[in-house]
Amino acid sequence: MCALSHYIERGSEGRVATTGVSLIREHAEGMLPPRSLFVPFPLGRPLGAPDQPDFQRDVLLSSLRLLETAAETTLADYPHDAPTSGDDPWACAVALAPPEPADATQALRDQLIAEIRQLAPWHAESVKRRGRSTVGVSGATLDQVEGLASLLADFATGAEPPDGEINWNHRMPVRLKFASDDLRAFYHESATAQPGASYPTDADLNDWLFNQTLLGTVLRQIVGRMSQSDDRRVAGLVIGMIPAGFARPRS
Amino acid sequence: MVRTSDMHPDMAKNLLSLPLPQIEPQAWIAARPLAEHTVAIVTTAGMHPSGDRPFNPGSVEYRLIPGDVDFTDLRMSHLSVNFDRSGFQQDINTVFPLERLRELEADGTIAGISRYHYSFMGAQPDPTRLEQTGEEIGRLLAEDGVTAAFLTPV
Repeated sequence: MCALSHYIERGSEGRVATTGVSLIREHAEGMLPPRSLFVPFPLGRPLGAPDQPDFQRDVLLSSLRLLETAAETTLADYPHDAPTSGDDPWACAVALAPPEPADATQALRDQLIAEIRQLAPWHAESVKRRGRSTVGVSGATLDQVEGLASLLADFATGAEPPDGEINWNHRMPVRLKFASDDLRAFYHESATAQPGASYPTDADLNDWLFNQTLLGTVLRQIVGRMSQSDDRRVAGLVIGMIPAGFARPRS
Repeated sequence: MVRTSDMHPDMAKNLLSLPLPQIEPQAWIAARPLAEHTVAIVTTAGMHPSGDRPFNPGSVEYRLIPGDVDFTDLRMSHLSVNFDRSGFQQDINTVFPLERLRELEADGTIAGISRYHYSFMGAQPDPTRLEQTGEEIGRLLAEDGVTAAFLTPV
């Protein structure tokens, strides 16, 4: 991001001034983009928080104002933390009761699909309220979400996943990464479908998914199997499957 | 407050080990009133319209996001576990604040919005590999009458 600022200004021959936000202050300090606003927000939330238009506008404006005030390379600090729920803890409206994962492929498929069907009404509500879903980077359509679960169950139990009807964007084993991320998107969108006074942080959602759903347990099983693979392509995917801090269940 | 010192140690170590190449700064572009600026968004969130090709990790290509894009059509194929995607999943403005920019145009805070916005893949192992496409974007934006780019990471 910092490098792009320099290259865009150079390519424009001085006609396009750049400003922006930085989530890693050390990176901005090291590469010194012409104008940048350091924001103390979680990675993935450069404007602070979802569904907070006033806060987002203030962050954007604070960065854009550097275009009319900065007379030299400027790294400014945004003075506010991202809004949170405060003392009101978030809890998913859907109370899942994840079973012990089955050893047999078809039984694990059935368990995962049952969990997905518990969330499905809330995902439908999410699509209705937001008008969209971000599920789909694997190639699966929304009505093929259960096929994603089948792929993960197959791999987790050592079965050979068939191609099935999904028009996958990637071959195995990279397909596993995109399928798991699409399923996580389905779970996140379902869990946040119900608007309320309390809303989840990224840590809330990770804690819920990796400690209170069957999917979280299955993703750990998959990572365990990947780690033992003789195929370097499979083992190389391990670091991209589960966020730091969630590789083990909460005790 | 989120700084690298607040992050999981493995993530902080990984982020702080990334190379930070020194790039010769250009001649300073003089400040001018915000109300005179036409603004584009440049993101490294790996976003693209749903019908466009997903990004591969480390790709130095870019994708076009039309200024009149329908938010229901945007996807993100930057899937590093180092960042949270739930904000994007709930509200795309958390990453790509085009609706906020439209509001600033409507109330006259800025002069206008670019016809096109640009998306790159983040988590670049060597940011200098973006030199050619970055300069191309600068030229394209200038020729399109854009005077400012708002760069947002993920």
